[in-house]
Amino acid sequence: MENPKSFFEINDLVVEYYADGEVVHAVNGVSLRLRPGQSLGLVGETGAGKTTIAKSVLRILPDRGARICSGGIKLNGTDLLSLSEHDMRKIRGNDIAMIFQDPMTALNPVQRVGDQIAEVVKIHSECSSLEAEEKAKEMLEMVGIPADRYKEYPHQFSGGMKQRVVIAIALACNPHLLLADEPTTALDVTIQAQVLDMIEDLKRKYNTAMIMITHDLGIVATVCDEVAIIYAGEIVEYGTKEEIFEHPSHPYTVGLFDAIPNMNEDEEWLHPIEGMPPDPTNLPAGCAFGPRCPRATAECREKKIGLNRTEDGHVCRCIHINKTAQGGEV
Amino acid sequence: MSVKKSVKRKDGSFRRVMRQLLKNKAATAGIIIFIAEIILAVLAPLVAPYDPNEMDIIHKLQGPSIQHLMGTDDLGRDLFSRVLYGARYSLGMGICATALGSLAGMIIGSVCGYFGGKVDYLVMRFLDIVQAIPGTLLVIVVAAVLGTGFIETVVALSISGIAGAARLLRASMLNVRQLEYIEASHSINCSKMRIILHHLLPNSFSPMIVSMTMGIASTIVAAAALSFVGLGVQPPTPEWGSILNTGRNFMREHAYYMLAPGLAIMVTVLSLNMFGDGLRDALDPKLKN
Amino acid sequence: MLRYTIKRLLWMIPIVLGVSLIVFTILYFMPGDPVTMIAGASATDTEREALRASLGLDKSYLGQLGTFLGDTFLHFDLGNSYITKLDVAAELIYRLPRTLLLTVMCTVLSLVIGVPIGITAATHQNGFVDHLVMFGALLGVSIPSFWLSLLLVLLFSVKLDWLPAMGIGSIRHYILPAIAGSLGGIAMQARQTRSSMLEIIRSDFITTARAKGVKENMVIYKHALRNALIPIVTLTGTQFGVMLGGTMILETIFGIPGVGTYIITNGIGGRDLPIIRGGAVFLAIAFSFCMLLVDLVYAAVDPRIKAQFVTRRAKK
Repeated sequence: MENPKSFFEINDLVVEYYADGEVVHAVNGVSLRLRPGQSLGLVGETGAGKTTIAKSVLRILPDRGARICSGGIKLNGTDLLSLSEHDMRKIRGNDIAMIFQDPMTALNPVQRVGDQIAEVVKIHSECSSLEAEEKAKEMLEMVGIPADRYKEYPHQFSGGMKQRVVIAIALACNPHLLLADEPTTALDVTIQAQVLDMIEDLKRKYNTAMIMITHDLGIVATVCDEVAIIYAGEIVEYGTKEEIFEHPSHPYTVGLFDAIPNMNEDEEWLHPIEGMPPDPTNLPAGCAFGPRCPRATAECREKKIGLNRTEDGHVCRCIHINKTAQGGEV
Repeated sequence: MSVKKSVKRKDGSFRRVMRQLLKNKAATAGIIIFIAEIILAVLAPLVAPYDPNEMDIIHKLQGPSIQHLMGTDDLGRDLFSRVLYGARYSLGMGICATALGSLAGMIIGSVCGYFGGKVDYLVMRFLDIVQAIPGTLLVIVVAAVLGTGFIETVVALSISGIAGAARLLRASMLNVRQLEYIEASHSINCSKMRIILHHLLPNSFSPMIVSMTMGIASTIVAAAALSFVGLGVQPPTPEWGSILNTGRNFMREHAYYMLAPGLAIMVTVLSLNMFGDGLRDALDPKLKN
Repeated sequence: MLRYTIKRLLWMIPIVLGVSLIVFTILYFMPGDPVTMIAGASATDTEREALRASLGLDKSYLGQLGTFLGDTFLHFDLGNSYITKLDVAAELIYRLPRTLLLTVMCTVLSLVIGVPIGITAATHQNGFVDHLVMFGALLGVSIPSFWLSLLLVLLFSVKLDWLPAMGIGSIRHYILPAIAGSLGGIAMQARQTRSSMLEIIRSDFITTARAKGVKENMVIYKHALRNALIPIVTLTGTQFGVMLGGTMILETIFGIPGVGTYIITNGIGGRDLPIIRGGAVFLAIAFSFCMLLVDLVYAAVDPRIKAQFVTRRAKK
């Protein structure tokens, strides 16, 4: 994944939570690169640590209990983790913005929707309240909401419209990087497509890079350039969309694709991945996916597995790939 | 966030609550103090060094000493013994009145919560009216009408808790009523009474227990307040409020007189509140961590 | 909104009517014959019967109730004291300012001290400050206000001689009663504010605000506090209402001739039924106004509640 033109990178990020005297290993050494305008899909089950990665980037993890233990997050060469809170605030909502999973709860219920957009504009540009209001109205129109609904409250909006407002807030300051945390999961299927199309359009218009967090490979297929599959806080497979979709190598990725019902064949059974994700307070010593893996051997249980390069050039955290030609450690 | 609660231990809820409670030092201390007080109250004749009503005019209004741990009152009675015996009245009234009020409230609340409709509407409007009368005033008026005995005072004190208990139980029953397993009991033809007794009540219980714990505390204060305005149980009964009220007259020269009963009330209320807080946190872990 | 308010005001009529009915009925069973008390032991039977008739006490329960309700609701007349013969409504209104002053002082103190303390505790959850505040608040809700009053008098009046212990001569007379009456309120507000803030701080929209780059202070005071306000408003309203009817003990201790002492000393003490009845009706009206005010503040704070009020109107 050496990419000289990357403007944003996460290096070996480790995040832990502390709850009831136990340590939850949420993110265990994740590294990512992004070029301007590029879209990366972060795919994994609930609890795999996807949202934690996004919140770590903005440093908005809950104060108590969550800690970024090690690793680096760089934006245009600046290490975000070493910035002061004051400087970090200038990044949030301005250079990096986030779209949240549940539009129903992501908006302040007692503040006018327009004001919620104007607030972010006002914070990051030295403009008057009136100008911020103008900009907010412009943003509303852009996400397809008539500007005269500026003065309404979130409870007067439908779920899809609320998500449009959340997107308007996220894009109001033309961020370089957009973190979209399952932006369509809480929406009706018909609205999902609209919202995705809109994100795509706006992203293209402003050349915004995006990390799309999802568990839906369909969304990845439509929106993303690259894909990282996350399991138990680790990237298990990382490559371009084409590479991953055409040659899924990690048994977990293979399992994810198999779990999608095939409409062309008359199948009687779905093919779920057997077993449950590991307890993040007590991860297995070797491969985290080992206990569920059909190909697991004694070797898998012994030590942590590194990322190996596959035949077509993407990386995969499995020792059973390329049995013929061994790829190098990355 | 998504990782955080992905694994939740399954465990009997009673055991979980007990474990949470025992982990909470304040709550444990609270319940120990309260139980110790009850034991002392029960054993008062054995523990108390003097007869609480035995007068000794020569030794009146003496400050605390080895002979009289909390001093003596204006009639030479031993204050420590009076406070010990007073626990019988104060705690007794607090517990009985809260139990009575909660019981009445629970009956009303479960009828409303279960049947809903017109019955519910009428009873709730009646409670609106009762609650528009300031609680203190209502208790004072009822106490004035009923008279000054122990039972009369308990009844008067219990009245202020009825409406609150009824609303609480009704609200949590309305919540529980929506749940699927109640529907399941309907579908297998459980009788209404059975549903109330076996399903709705146990599930509406936890907020009730918390409010009863706090209720005992506030009732003890209310009982003392009644004595303070000359109602409730009367001297020479060694109820805390009435000792305090007499002690008030000697406040300038003999401050210790009003300290002892006041401290007794405060420690009791504090211990109940500590326990109640811990219980609420244990039953509703939402606010923790 | 206006229609909702009017509807609520009209709804107060049956409430107050109900209160009158209940209080009258309870007091009807008050032991002791008021006539004997007023006339004294030396009065003859004829004198007593004449007095009884003049007070309307010779009528049946329903007759007396009818007279009382008629006077109260048709002539806005709460009757005259049996003993002093003074007009009860006028006496109550004359004494109200003192009770009101004390109540307002206590409520304002609870709010302006309790809420910031609660916020501080919530933002430092499980830290030293939080534990200290919560322990203090627990003590605060556990000290009975009448005992606290005595302790305050003992310290500030008897020992230090800084503040007067009794009477209403100046604002200084209200300092001790206000402290005694508000400590519990401060503690309750602090506890309530802390727990509702803790709940709100966890909401997604707070994360949204942080992700927008909003300053932490603004996140807490602008975004979180307004959302946490509903339970605080409820508590404030209830406290005010309860205080209004509950200052009687404070008033008795500090010798403040307010509504409370009037009801307790003159009414209950003298078995003067019109005073008790009138006082109860008066306080019930005041309490209902408080609750209406609370609901109107809800609507101002939370647009969702306002919308409910409006749609309810639309449905009717």
